[in-house]
Amino acid sequence: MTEAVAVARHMPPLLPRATLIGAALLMVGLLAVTAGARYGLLLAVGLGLGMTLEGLRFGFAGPSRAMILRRDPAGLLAQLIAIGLVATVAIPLLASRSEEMIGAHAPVGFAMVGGAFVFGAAMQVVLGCGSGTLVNAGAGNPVALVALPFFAIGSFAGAYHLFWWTDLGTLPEIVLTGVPGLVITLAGLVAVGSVLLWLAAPGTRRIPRRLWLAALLVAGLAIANLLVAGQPWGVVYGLGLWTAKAATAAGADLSGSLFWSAPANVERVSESLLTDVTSVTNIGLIGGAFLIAAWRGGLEQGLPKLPARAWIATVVTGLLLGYSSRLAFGCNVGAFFSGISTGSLHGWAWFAAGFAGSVAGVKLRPWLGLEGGR
Amino acid sequence: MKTRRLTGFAALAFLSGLLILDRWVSEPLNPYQAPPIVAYGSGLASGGAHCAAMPSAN
Repeated sequence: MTEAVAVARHMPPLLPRATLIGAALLMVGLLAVTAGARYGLLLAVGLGLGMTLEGLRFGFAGPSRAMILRRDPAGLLAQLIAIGLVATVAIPLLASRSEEMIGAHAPVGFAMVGGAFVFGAAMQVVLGCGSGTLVNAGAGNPVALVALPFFAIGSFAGAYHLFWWTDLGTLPEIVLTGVPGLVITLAGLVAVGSVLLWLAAPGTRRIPRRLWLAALLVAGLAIANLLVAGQPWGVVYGLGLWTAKAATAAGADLSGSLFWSAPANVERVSESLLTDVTSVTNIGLIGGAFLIAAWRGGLEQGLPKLPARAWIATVVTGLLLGYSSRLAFGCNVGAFFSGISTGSLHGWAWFAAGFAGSVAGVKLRPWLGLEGGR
Repeated sequence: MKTRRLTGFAALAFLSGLLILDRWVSEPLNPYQAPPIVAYGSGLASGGAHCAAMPSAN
């Protein structure tokens, strides 16, 4: 624990806790009344995810870093457990309810694998993936706050060019379905977990209670997302949509992009963000993290002093996070977590390429002046 | 000393700005045309606006 956190814990919370809870409930209620009950429920799911990720320090970039630097697999194992729990519900559900639910299914290809590698490296530079950047920004992390708008711009641009990249070479979509698909998915998760345990440093093979609880909560909320929205938890589509909105407002013509001119996306750009599933849960992630940070005095931590090259690296990395995640058909959440848990082969390819990218990113971070900046 | 209070509220301001822009350029919300509260059992197809979804070009 840093000294700043220790000091913060002895300071009074920024806002009374009842006010924080009341404000969150008010937002959920207002959205339910003005946009529809489904969106209010999805905001509650997003708030729950933000509170869980920030409150129990469950993330995606940090566990890869812990495995690479200290051979500590606890965080990665917790991710695998959460994915396994979601898969156990989601894969049979998708088989029986295919008319009203979709999985995070995407094809493996050159751009997909390359995008996951770049994303893995970039998320180690700013220590935040898709959900991590939102949660960290909500908790007042200045690096994430600076990265976030550029993440959104990169996500828009990556989607704009998506078809050009997929034309470089893409396999047909491969999806593991039904009971055999679930068995193969769970066996794959056990196999990866076993390798992690085999590689682990002595004394690191136990998953802390905090991470068990987080894995259960994240799995429960991800299943709720699927049941309520009819699609798995995702992040980066919403971020690209935010920029598409701003671009349209500024008079940009998106008809030159096969992606943004597709009828489904034209509809999303014209309709409110408050009726877009990933936008609503993204807003919840930021809000939930802010609530937890304000609740436990985390907003009293001092801001880090970083060199100029760190801020330049943050801007460039934010753009790369957004762009690469679109080529990879998602970030840790949309591709790795939701892809594997709904049977898509691209989730496994994402995990392998993203982890390889993380190895490079861990080496890059201190060189770019960001070490100690979280 | 500057604290995360500044950046935490800046994140909320970012969201507020986004929603104001959204209100300005988007079609108005209509709760009477909202989908059923839960997709499961609704019989309606998902919108498909997801990171993994490859839109059809037509």
